[in-house]
Amino acid sequence: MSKLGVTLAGVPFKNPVLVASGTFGFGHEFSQFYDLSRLGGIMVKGLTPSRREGNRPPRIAETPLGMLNSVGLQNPGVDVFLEQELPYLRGFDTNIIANITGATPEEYAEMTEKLSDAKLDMIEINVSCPNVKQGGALFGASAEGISSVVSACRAKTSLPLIVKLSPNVTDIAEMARAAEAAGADCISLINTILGMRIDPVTRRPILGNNMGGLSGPAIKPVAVRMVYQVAQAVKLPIIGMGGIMDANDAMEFFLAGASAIAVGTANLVDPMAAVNLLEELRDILDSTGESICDIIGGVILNEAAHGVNKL
Amino acid sequence: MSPVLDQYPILYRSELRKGVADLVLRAEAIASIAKPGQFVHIKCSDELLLRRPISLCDVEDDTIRLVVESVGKGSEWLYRRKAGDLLDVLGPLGTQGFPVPDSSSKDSRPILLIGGGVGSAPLLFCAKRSSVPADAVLGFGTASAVILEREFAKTCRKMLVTTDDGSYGRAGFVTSAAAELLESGNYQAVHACGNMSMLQAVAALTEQFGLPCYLSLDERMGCGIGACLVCAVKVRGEDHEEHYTHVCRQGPVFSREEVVFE
Ligand SMILES: Cc1cc2nc3c(=O)[nH]c(=O)nc-3n(C[C@H](O)[C@H](O)[C@H](O)COP(=O)(O)OP(=O)(O)OC[C@H]3O[C@@H](n4cnc5c(N)ncnc54)[C@H](O)[C@@H]3O)c2cc1C
Ligand SMILES: Cc1cc2nc3c(=O)[nH]c(=O)nc-3n(C[C@H](O)[C@H](O)[C@H](O)COP(=O)(O)O)c2cc1C
Ligand code: FES
Repeated sequence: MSKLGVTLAGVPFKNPVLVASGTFGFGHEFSQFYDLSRLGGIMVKGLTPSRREGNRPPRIAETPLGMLNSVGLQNPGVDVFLEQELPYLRGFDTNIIANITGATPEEYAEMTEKLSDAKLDMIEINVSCPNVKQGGALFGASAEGISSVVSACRAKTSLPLIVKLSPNVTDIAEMARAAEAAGADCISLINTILGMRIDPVTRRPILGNNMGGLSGPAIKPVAVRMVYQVAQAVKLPIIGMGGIMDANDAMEFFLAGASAIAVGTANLVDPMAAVNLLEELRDILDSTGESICDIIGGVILNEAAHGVNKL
Repeated sequence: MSPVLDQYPILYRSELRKGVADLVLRAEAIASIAKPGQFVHIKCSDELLLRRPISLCDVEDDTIRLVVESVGKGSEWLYRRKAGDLLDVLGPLGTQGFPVPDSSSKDSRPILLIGGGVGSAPLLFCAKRSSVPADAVLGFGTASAVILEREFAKTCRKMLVTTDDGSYGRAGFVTSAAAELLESGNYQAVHACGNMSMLQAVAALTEQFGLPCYLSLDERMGCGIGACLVCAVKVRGEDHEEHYTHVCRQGPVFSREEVVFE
């Protein structure tokens, strides 16, 4: 395998650089800037059983080194995706990962069944969308919720299942263990952190939906910490994301234990972000003479990580 | 035509009035394909994450011209740039600009441009590209806010300026001055840019006159290219159903019949 190649749940990836759901649409816009075959994989916009219009605007607000979004899963529905978008994406030599959200475990299972026969490499189960009342966050907030959704999907497919965890929980390791026990093949994290901005003059929230999901560099330390904790808790491979803008950010996630990373908000700032990062990563590996697999989980912890340091 | 992402130098910088900068960039790749109504998306310092959308006010040879009003952190940073500075620009963006008549159009009737405040800027590009005479009505809050008056006067056949407080030009809103022109002129279409309440009034007025009307809409943006779906605006489709579409890609210009005012 090449220096950049990784295997997640038996699926080979030519490189560990993916793009995160909801920040890349179905790829069309970015193909104006580069050949999508350069990516390790594409996690498509979150799909629901039928078409969704999404939340009322404004849907975006900038925050210190981050942004809030409240798109609310606007998407054409899983059937339209299969008919109109997937054939286009399959034209590229890269792994395609569907991202799904349902209102009940049954809805998740039905979507999984439909997608199971399609030419997909993996399915990512989103139990963590903070922007929709029934956006899965309800399920993602407890081990039982995660269990119920993942086992319902597991029964319907032999495709590898990724479970995308919400950071809006007290104990992320517990959530990862629940996903593993219910039959997940891979964990991705983090989704956005629930946040809010209020205009001091109008005294109203800036987002039409009042609250939204925080993403971007501001959430990176939280994401790295959670990836590390999940890597300690489960054996499953991890796709890390949250504020990754360049290869050094990505290195933090690999060292914490992620086998692959996804670029999200950075795509909105610079359409070339993911492939620029990939080239930087190649340079880093060339200079250290390692392959990506040598780096994964390689963080060197300081001793006395807990308690009071003795002088 | 695909948008381009690159760094471009500011050739000239002047002030149209306090708080409004006039920037001319050498950006051949954008200038060669840009159409009236399109915009560019600019990175405003490393401290701010998201780009800021700015309309093309004019395009000449290999240069693009931007008019920037300082209203917050990003636009203030842009406003303070100097000649020689490089800007990180993505554009031109928007697939639906102002459909101004060009040499291929058979209709020789004039067009009417209606602008509010800094929203007047992109209409100058319309006036310059139009193959038929253009008239303009530009509305501002007060005398000191008036911009681009001389240039519109040079390019347009007729030009009226209005101020809300009556301190310059005609007193009152753009729509009353525009109504007068619409009474007497035999226009083929109206093109407008400004705040939402002005656009709503323009839409009502042109409906009364049974004229096609094109409105440039404003919404907070993320990617600017149609991928993140944050710049949603409610429109009425051909099936008359209301749904959310996206200003950056499907717009920024929409016909009156499409726009749902809320
Ligand atoms: C298609 C398009 C074309 C535009 N063309 C121009 C132009 O040619 N010249 C120009 O000066 N401005 C233009 N704007 C508006 C400009 O993008 C905003 O003023 C700018 O993004 C505000 O950023 P900020 O960081 O300065 O303000 P922020 O600190 O984000 O906010 C300050 C104030 O600006 C308002 N604001 C924020 N975002 C927008 C927005 N997208 N549109 C309007 N108001 C906003 C906020 O409500 C707030 O009151 C355009 C906007 C769009 C969508
Ligand atoms: C505009 C926007 C839309 C998103 N939509 C989805 C979605 O549909 N499904 C999903 O699982 N995550 C969605 N996310 C979350 C991202 O995939 C990612 O987990 C998160 O933004 C953290 O990574 P980042 O900081 O690099 O953006 C969205 C994020 C943004 C910014
Ligand atoms: S700004 Fe991303 S879709 Fe319009």
